[in-house]
Amino acid sequence: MRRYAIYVPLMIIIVALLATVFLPFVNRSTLWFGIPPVMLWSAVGVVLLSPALGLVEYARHRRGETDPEDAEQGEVSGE
Amino acid sequence: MNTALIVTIVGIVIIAALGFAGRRRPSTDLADWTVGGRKFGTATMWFLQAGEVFTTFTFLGMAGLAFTGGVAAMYALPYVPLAYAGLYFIGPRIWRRGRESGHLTQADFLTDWYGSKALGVVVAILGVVFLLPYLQLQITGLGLAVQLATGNETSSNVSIVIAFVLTVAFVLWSGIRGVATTAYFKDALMLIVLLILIVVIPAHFNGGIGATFQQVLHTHPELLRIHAGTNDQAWFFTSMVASTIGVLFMTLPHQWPALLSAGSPKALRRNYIYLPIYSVSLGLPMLIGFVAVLQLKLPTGPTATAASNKALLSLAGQALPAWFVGVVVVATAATAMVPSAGLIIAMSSLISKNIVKTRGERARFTVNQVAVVGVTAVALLMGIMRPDLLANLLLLTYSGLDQLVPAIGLALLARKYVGLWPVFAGLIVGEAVVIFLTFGGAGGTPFLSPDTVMGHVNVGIIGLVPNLIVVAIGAAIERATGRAPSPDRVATGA
Repeated sequence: MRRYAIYVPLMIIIVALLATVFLPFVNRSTLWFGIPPVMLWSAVGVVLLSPALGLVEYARHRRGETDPEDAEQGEVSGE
Repeated sequence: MNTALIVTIVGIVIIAALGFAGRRRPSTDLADWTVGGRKFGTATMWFLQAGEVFTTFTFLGMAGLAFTGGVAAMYALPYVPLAYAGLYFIGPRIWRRGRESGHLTQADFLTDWYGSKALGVVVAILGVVFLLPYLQLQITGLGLAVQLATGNETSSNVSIVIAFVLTVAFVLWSGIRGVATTAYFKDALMLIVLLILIVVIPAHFNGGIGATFQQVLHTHPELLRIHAGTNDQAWFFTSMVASTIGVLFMTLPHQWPALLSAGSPKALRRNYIYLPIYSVSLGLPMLIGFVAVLQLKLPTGPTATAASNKALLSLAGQALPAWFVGVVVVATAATAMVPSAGLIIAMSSLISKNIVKTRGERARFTVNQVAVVGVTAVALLMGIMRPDLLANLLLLTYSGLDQLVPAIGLALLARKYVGLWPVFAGLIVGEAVVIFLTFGGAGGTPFLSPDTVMGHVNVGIIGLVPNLIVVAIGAAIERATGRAPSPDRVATGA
C-alpha cells in the first residue's frame, strides 16, 4: 500500500486539473490575487505536476529500480 | 523596406543558419537524420520537446482565443503537462521498443505490433494528411505576423517563401539535429519577447495586468469564467481531454522522432518531470488576449477567429517601436519554422519509410529528401492561396489523429489482446465519423453537424466512441471464433 501512496499527489493534481471547469468555486467571475481563478488554478496545478512526478522518480530511485540500459552503459564503460 | 521587415528577414536567416549548424556535413543516413542516432541527452530532449509545445498556434492563437473566449482558452494550458505525466510512464516503454526494433516512425511501431504493412501505410497516410494543415498553420501564422508588421501582403508572401525555403534547406542538411539547434534559440527568444510583452502591453493600455483584469471584471465578467456559448463547459472539458489523450498516446506523428532520439529512458523521464513547469509559459499570451478585450473591437462573422489571432501583434504594433515589432515577428517566425522542421521530418519519414516502397537505404533516403521538398511545397501553396483559421485547424488535426488512440493504446500493453482487424475497423469508423461531422458542419448543410448531435463536444471524442465500440465488438468476435491473437505475443522492451 505504501508503495502506491507515492502516486497519490500526482493523481490528486490530475483530477483537480481535469475538474477545473466543474468546480463552482473555481469557475466563476471573480479574481484571486488579481487573476481569474480558472487561470490561477490551472497554472498552480500544472506547476505542481513537476514536483509530484519528481516524487515518483525519487521513490523509484529509493527502491533501487534501475533501467536495463544503465547496466548496458556500465558494461560499455567497463570494457 | 521598413525596419520591421529588415529585422524579420535578418532573424529568419539567423534561425536557418543555426539549423545548418546542427551538422558539419549533410546527413546521409535516415536513422541519424530522423532520430539523431538515439543519443540525445536531457538538455537537448528538453528543447526538442519544449519546441513542440510552442507553435504559432500558441503564440498567436492563444491570445486570440482569450480575446474571444476569455478563460476558456485555458483548456490549452493543462493538456500537454497532463499528457507528460502519463508519458513519464509510457515514454520509456515506447523508446525501448523503438530501439530494439529500429522504429523511426509511429507507423513503424504499429506495423511491427500488429504485423501489418497495410495498417502502417494507412496510419502513415493519415499522419501526413492530418499534419499538413498543422504545417500550413505555421506558415499562415508567420504570414499573418509579417503582414501586420509591414501592412503589406507582398512582404508577407516573400517572407513566408524565404522562411520555408530556408527551413527546407536546413532540414535537408541537418535533420533532427537542426531542429534541436534552432530550438535553443527559439525558446530563449520567445520567452524574452513574451515576458516583455506581458509587462509592456498591459501597462501601456490599462496600467498593468492587475488593472486589466479589474476592468475586465467590471466590463466583461462572463469572460472570467467558462460560460454558455461556443466555448462552453462541454467544449472546454472535451477539448482538453481530446488533446490530452492525443499527446499522451503519441497520436501526433511528429512526437515520435523527438521521443525516439532520447539517449536513455532516464533522459526521457527527467524531461517529463521538468516540462510541466515550463508549460506554464503557455498562459502568457492569454494575458495579452485580455488586454485586447478592452482595447480592440471584437471581430464577428466567418473570419472572426482569423481576425482575433491578430490581437497580440496589433497591440504590439501600437505599444512598441518598429524595431521591436520586428523582433516579435522574428519570435513568431521561430515558432513557425522550428515546429515546422519537426513536422516536415515526421511527414517525410512516414512517406519514405512506410508509404513509398523503395529498394535499399540509399533510395529510401532519396525519397525522404524529395518528400521534404514536396510536403513543404504543398503546405506553402495552401498557406498562400488559402490561408485559414488557426485554432480550428489544430482541433481538426487532433480529432483525426485521436482515432489512433485504441490502436496505439492496445499496442502499449505487455501482451497482444486484440488483433489487427478490430483495430483497423475501429480506426476506419472513427475517421469516417470525424470527417463526416467536420465537413457536415463546415459545408453549410449541417444536418448532422457536431453542434446538432452533441452540442460543443469535441469531434475527436465523438469519433472515439464508435471507434472503441467497433474494437470491442471485433475483439469479442475474435475470441468467439477462436481467432484471438496468440497470448504468447509478448512485447519486447515492455
